[in-house]
Amino acid sequence: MNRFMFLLVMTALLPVSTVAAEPGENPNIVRWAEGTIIYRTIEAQRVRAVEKYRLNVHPDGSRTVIGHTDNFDAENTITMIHRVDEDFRPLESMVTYWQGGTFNGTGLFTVRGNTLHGVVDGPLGRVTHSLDVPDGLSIVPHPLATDSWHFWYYDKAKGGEQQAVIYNPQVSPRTGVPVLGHLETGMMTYEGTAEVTVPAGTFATEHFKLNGVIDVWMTGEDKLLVRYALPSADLEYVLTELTQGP
Amino acid sequence: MRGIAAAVAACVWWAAPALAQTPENDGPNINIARWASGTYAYTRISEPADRGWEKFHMNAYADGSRTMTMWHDLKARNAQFTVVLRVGADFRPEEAFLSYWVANGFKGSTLIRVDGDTLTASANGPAGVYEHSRDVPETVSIGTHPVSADGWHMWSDSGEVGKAQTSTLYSVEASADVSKPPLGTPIELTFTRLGEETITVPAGTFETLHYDLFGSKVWVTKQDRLMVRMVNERRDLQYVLTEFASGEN
Repeated sequence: MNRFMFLLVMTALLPVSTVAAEPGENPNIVRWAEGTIIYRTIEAQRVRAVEKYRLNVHPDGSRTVIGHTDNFDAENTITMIHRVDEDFRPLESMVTYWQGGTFNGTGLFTVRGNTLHGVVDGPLGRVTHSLDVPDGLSIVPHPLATDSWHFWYYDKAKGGEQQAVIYNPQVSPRTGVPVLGHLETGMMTYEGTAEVTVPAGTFATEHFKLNGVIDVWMTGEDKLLVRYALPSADLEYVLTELTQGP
Repeated sequence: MRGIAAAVAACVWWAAPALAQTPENDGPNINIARWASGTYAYTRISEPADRGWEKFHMNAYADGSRTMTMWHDLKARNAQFTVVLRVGADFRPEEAFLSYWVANGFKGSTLIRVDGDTLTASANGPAGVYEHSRDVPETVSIGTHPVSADGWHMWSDSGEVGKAQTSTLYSVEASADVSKPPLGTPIELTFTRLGEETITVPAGTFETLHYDLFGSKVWVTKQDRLMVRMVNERRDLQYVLTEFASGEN
């Protein structure tokens, strides 16, 4: 192998770029957060799943979350990379789903303007679709970390019940193509601010409801999920560890 | 959907995927056979320069396949990569998804799929949308640049010590030039198995396989080929595992 190939291979193997090294922090990471979310029953406090995530906020305001969920209760395992713009509108979401010991597939859902493109690779081969979507849209990759971002377009000045539109990939559908999603609607309301204490600490939060039955508390400019509760089903999802920077 | 009941049902899905479809399981997750998590320090060999760090989480599944999630902060190059890589039971790649921020901004995201002897990739970023297909041999791996899964490049290792072996690396473009989409090029990769070695790093002591990976010395764990240490003396770079946790279900 000649010198050119040597350099090409070394460039391939090592994480490099063509610019000179610079001192100081990475300008591509404006802020970051790492957290752990526990899924548990409310009454008995029985732990059902553990989720971990890392959020990077980039200089253009966009955000990238990488996360993985070990949901032993529902026998699913999820990996995601979820990107949203500075307003929290989804840019793209990549998920892999395992359910009951079976690989259900990998999905990549990309939003460009008012079109969502879905590509799923799984046991059924490659399946794609394109959907018209509204400006007010969110995606549910199913790890909970980004479930506080469904409310990003709620108009507080207007108040009251407002429609939520989500693209919901299917973790374990009884029919249809696993992983491929569909649009669903719901109603969201803003309940005000509240101080919420969870194992990760006490947080000043904003409180929203979904369809009058799901409570979501989030904190800070990155709308980090603090608690998500569905009392009628005796389920809650609480932040148990959080570190943030820079 | 009809009425509030349907809407509520939908929201249960948001919160608790598969909750209604499967019975509750009090034991370990049956999907996960093993798992491992770790952190690497990026440094120079000659001085304790902090060039960045990388973290990973790997799940090994019941069918032997593995999913590696990796993310780094390569501040020395103002780069931040986020990657998911899936391989089969023999470590041959099945797919990858990557998202790159480089010194000049967002470079793009790429979905890579290996199906038999065909690799397809679709990149989406400031350079536009690019797709391509490439013929690949059986002994192929994907180079996404975080080091966690670089032990998987040698999955075709014959086990013979001291003999140079070759494979094909689909190496993803990762320069700071955002006009170049993060698509890859298949290139020949040469490696030599140097033997087995017990090494100690800040994360602990590991029984490893030791390789020369085209000029870099690498030490990887045996079962899951997780990178423990990577040294490139010519470029004065090293990558060392500083934190490690693992478990079996």
